[in-house]
Amino acid sequence: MLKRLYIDNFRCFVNFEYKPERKQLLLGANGSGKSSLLEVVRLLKEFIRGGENPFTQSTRTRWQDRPFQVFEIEALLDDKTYEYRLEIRYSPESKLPSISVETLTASGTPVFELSKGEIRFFPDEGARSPVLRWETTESALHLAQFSNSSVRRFVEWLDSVYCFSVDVYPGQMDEVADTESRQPDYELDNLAGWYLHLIQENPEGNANLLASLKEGLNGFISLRFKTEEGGMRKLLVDSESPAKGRVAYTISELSDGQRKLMALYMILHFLLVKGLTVFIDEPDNFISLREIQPWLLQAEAAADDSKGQLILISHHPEILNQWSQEYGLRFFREENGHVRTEKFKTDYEGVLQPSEVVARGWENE
Amino acid sequence: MRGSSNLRRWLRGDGRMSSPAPVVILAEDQRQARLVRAYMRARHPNLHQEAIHDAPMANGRGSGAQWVANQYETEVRAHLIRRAKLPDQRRSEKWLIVVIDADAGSVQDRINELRKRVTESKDERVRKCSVEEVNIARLIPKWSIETWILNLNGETVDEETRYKPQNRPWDDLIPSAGAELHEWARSGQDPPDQCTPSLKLSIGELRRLTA
Repeated sequence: MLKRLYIDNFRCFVNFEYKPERKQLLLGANGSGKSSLLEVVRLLKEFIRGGENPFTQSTRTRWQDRPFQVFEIEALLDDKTYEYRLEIRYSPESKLPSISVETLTASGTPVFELSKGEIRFFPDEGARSPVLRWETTESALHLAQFSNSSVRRFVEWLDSVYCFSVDVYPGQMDEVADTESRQPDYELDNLAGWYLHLIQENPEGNANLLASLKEGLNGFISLRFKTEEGGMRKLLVDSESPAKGRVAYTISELSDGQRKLMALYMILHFLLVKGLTVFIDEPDNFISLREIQPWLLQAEAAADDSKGQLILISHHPEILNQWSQEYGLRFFREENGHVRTEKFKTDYEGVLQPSEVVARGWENE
Repeated sequence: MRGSSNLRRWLRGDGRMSSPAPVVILAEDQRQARLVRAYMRARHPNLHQEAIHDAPMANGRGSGAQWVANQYETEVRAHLIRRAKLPDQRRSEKWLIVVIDADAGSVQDRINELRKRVTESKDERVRKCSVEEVNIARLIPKWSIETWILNLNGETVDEETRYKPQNRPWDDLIPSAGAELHEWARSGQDPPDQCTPSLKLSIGELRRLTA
């Protein structure tokens, strides 16, 4: 479970600390930093996975002139606290930033250390490795996961933290799976490829998904793949109506809301039930009012049962009224400056619905 | 700065979308609310749209007047909670403007009904409050807001005729009605002779609102 995220000198975050709960609703005005928080999580995942360094000069806070950024992640995994710290230094002479510090501790014990141009591994077996000179612009943590099980545990966990901002615009979601995708994209545009992977890996989750879609989508019968010329597999939605009989639709023939609902139930049945940490930016977009609550209740139950972590960003009255009192965390920026957070607070309990309080701008006043 | 937003700030024109709305309108329908907004715009030309918030309306949930009467106590409670959070000198910055037709009864009957809602509240703070002293204005057209809209646009009207069913460009008439209402409600001058009795009473309510 993600326990803490610290961000300093990244976009609108300066000396910013975020301590998520198991269930949380991030709310606040547009531009208050909610979606940027998801971006940080995504970039850190990408960075630690060993990809190209996504942190550049332009990601530094505009009104700060400090040449370094700091990121920290704290996670509680199997009753062990993992603390990751990353310091990125920028210099005017170099386009690429250098990694000045990258460390990971497990229950306070160092398991990986990169600092002042020196790297140190802590293998599970045997003595400490020698200190090596190491200048880098990319993460070196993933190199240590093969020799240290704690590093591996942390890296694998971070890989299973998911952030979504599902993009359902026509043509955005691939309806053809050319290959299996083990990981869903941020915008779920690889939905077909991810589903192809999931039906083989998790048939039980698939049965639950189909049951939910039968309840949620009018006339829905099932999902199936049809093999096209060249071996590519097209995802089809079998549907039935008294007027048209049985019809197979492609993903792009569905409405935006139907695609979004499919995506949300996939996230629920394949990820949330596994006790993972899942962030979803505006799950309510495109979804009809009647469809929000059933999904929200099931998603909450799935997170509860699996001890997972579900963090939603939403402005929707239905979600605000359900979640803000108990789980609401309000993001705000003073005079367009740094992002700050505070627990959602209303003095109008029993008088005005939380969504009405927010609509008036009276929360935390 | 959060917490410092208030009507004066909105009036200066530097309020933001995320700032708390200082004015709430509790009305039966959009047309009533629009007239109040037009009046507010004439009274405070720099006022942002977002400074005024329409409370939920009946929107088909039965009689509009009944809805407003039912919601009145809730909105007075919310208004008082909000005022209580502010220092004395800033309490006058929050306004609640209520619009409700008198319908078959008199304007005084409607005022009595609203007063009863307050005196029967479960909330002691509401029971004890004098709505006349806390920047709450009760605007009560005799039959409907359309009578006032025509009246404010210079037409001779009476308060027995029902003008609402007439096919008139009501929405087009509202901005000028709002501007005229502001002229009539300016302090220190009597409303003109053609002003209907119910509108005259409501002008008194508007004059009580201070920023």
